[in-house]
Amino acid sequence: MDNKIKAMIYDGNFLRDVAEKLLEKGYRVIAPIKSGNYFIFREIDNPERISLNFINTKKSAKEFLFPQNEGLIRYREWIEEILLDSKKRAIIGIRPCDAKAITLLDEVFLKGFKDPYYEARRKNTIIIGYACNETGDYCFCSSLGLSPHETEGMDILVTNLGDRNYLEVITDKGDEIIGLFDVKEVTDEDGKRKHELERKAVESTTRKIVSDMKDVLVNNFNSDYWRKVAFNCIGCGTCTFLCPTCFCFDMLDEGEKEGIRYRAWDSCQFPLYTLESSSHNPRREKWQRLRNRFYDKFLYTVESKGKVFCVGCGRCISDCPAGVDITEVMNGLLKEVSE
Amino acid sequence: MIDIGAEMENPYVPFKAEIIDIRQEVKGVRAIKTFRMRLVGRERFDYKPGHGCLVSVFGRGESWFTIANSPTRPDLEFSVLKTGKVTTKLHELEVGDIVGLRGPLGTPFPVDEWKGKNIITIGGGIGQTPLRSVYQYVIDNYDDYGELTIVYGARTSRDLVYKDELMQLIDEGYNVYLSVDMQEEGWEHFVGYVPDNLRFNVKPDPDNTIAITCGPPIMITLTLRVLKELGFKEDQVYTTLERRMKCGIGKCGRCRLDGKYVCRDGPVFRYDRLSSLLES
Amino acid sequence: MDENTLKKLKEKCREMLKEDVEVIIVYTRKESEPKEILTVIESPDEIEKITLSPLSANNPAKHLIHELKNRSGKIGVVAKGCDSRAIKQLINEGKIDRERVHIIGISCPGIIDYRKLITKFKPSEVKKVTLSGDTVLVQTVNDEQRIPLDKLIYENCLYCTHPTPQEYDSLLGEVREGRRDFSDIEELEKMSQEERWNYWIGELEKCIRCFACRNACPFCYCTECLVDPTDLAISPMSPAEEKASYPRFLGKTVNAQDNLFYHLLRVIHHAGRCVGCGECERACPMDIPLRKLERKLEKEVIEVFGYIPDGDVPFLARLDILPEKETTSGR
Repeated sequence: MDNKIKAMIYDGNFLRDVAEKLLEKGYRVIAPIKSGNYFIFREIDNPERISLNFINTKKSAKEFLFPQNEGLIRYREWIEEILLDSKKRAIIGIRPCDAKAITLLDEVFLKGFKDPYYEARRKNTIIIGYACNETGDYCFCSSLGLSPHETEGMDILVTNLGDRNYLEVITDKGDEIIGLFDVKEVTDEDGKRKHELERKAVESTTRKIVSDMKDVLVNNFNSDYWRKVAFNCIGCGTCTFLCPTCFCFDMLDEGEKEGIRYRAWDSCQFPLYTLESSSHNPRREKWQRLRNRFYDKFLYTVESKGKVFCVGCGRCISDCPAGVDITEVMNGLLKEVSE
Repeated sequence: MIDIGAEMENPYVPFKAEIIDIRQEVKGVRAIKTFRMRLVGRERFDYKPGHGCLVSVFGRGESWFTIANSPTRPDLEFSVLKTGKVTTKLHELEVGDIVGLRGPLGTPFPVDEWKGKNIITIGGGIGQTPLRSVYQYVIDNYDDYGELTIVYGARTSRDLVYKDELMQLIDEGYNVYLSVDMQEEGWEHFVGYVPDNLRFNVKPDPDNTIAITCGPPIMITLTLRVLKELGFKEDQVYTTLERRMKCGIGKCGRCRLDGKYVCRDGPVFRYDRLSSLLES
Repeated sequence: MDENTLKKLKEKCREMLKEDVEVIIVYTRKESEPKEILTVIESPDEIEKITLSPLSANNPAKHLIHELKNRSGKIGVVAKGCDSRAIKQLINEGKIDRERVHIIGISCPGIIDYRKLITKFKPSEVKKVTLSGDTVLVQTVNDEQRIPLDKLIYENCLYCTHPTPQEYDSLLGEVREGRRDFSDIEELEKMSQEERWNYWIGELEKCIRCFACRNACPFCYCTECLVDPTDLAISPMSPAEEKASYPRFLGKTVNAQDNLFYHLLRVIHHAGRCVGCGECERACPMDIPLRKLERKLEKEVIEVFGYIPDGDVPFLARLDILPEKETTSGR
């Protein structure tokens, strides 16, 4: 991985052109398209379909590295096939928060035991991001120490300067791809414009979260606050499924005599998640499950992996059917405690 | 220290194992069978007492079992309580049938750290399984350890697992304290709960001693209390935790307790590390 | 849903808290955006939290069941037409004790689709949303805009059969007529079978099986739901064989066909019960037109069985599947 990020200018629509180039080279290109009232990542074969007129996509891009359903083993009496997927893919137009989330998923799947299924996809996926020149009402990446122009997790980051694209090449993989294009040197004017756009994006962020909550969380595990917060929650899996950093999964066998052992996204908000065969359930109540989500993202992962498992994309806020708001909950806890 | 599952190329893909012996330990509604398994086409992997395996039955799923025999003994033994989908299927299997094994998984007992110490195991019901691996290991490495004491009880004598083996150990002169919850005809050992047996009969000396306890939650709570009364410190007591497990390798997140994966950082836990956990 | 009704509602709540009600479930504004959510108020100092506007969307029926379980006193609840209908139906199904509930009925002109609203306005710029006649007044940090309600209203509300609550202890707002209109369903019915199949497969491809629809629905209250991959252990005494042979209707495979199966399975259980509150469609993050499925079923129930879910007799009793209950405790 390059330590030094190289910058250059591309005259044109880099994301569309790189999609075309990669399609020619046999990559499966995954890019955002408009679908109904929202935007979603899809595998495309026509770069004209790419639409970038959004703050963020409805679902994150995690499903292309960690699919909602992933076959692990095909079996009959015994194992017939191990279903590893090493197809060459490119995810184009991903936002910095989602790309950063991929690095958090790397912590889970590539540290300790290397998860071979995730690794196969990850190794063979190119990530080309699209910087945010404006942030949405639900975005709060900057209060988590991330920038709307963050490059972590990407091979190339594209910033739209208006009539031209500012490219940042982060990895060797990215370098190889840039080699296929005619690029220009960055001028002072370009650099200034880029910084201006980044600054404006950060300043326009209205939503903030207090994220250094370690001590407060440790001391308030049994607080009634969590019961209050859970009043609205309906216990569905929307927040966990739309979240780019949530990774819990279930493993199931489908087919008694022959079939597939697969894994599927699961949610700590579902009551069956921790139910044991003896019928004991350590998180029987909805408020305990909801509390677990906040503790997991802001305390447990910090203790075990050193990282907060939230990138501020805001999907859990905009799409929660009941109005549970991660920023309000965490800010509210601090307020409650200091009163 | 052994890298868990070090010999597994793909940690989701089980080794092939054949059932070479089945022993019915407990009959009836809460039936328990001990399966002896042998890996097909390869040497048995190396492991330590406390390591577990996910036993895989394709078409049904997987279940976690602690390996019930010490690595100093041959093959791999698992004691299975019939309680759900996978275990019901396992109980239907016969000698010669094939299952999958993923292992060794989890963090085992630190038996090397315990060298030179006295070991006391306190078990209840099917909780005796991981303890058997420990005391067999201690018996087979007798010179490396101090005094061994085995305390074990179940509801009735019919619910005791490894009964013949334990009776044999009594004959051979080992310190074995058995109990059943209620008076039974022909029962010559203690009648009462395991923690009471511990408190009134065994009365172990905490000096240079490690206590390991496994069993139903209520038994563990009371046992811990007794051990504390006898002067045991929290870093002298070990236990095993149970949570619903799926991947077994510290990824899927299901068995997490405060961010620690029971399948990876446990299921063996030293008691002082547990009491600081928020959820328990 | 206008300022006037809100004032009367606050007075009513103040009265109720003084008298015999332990808590009241009301609407309140979410902190960081103009959305409204449900909350519980216990004391008169919390009266100012109460809001009532065309953004008061959620159905409090399920929360009411929860509060009744956790508290011993009387529970007040603000209920629009569809909400009141849900509460009535839940009373019929034995889930709510009528004696313990004080329903403040609100006659409803229709609810604003919040997702439509935020295509026109940035949420952080909206200060207040109120209703005046048929016009929505949106007060932003810059100005005030007037938009006809029917430009922002939920599609579901266009087909509302009961805008004015039928079951209540107090009623606020002018009485309105509902109407039964299946014109959109009839449009779907005109499609050929293949076209309809493609339509639904296209919509259900989007489903992520988050179960927001099921969890938001007041009538999906079964603790052991058929659509969960049932590894359910029932009790410590459940025999292993029972647990092992529990039928699994659906795994966790998420694809259009399995999603269709899940939704049809779920909707069928609402025959004669669905009250049209629209929580399912509102909860769905992927914008799947779930109401169309429910309303098609409603149409079938009316046409084939001649049953309109309004009285005291549940649909299943009409089919002689359930015995007719003793008429529910008065009104």
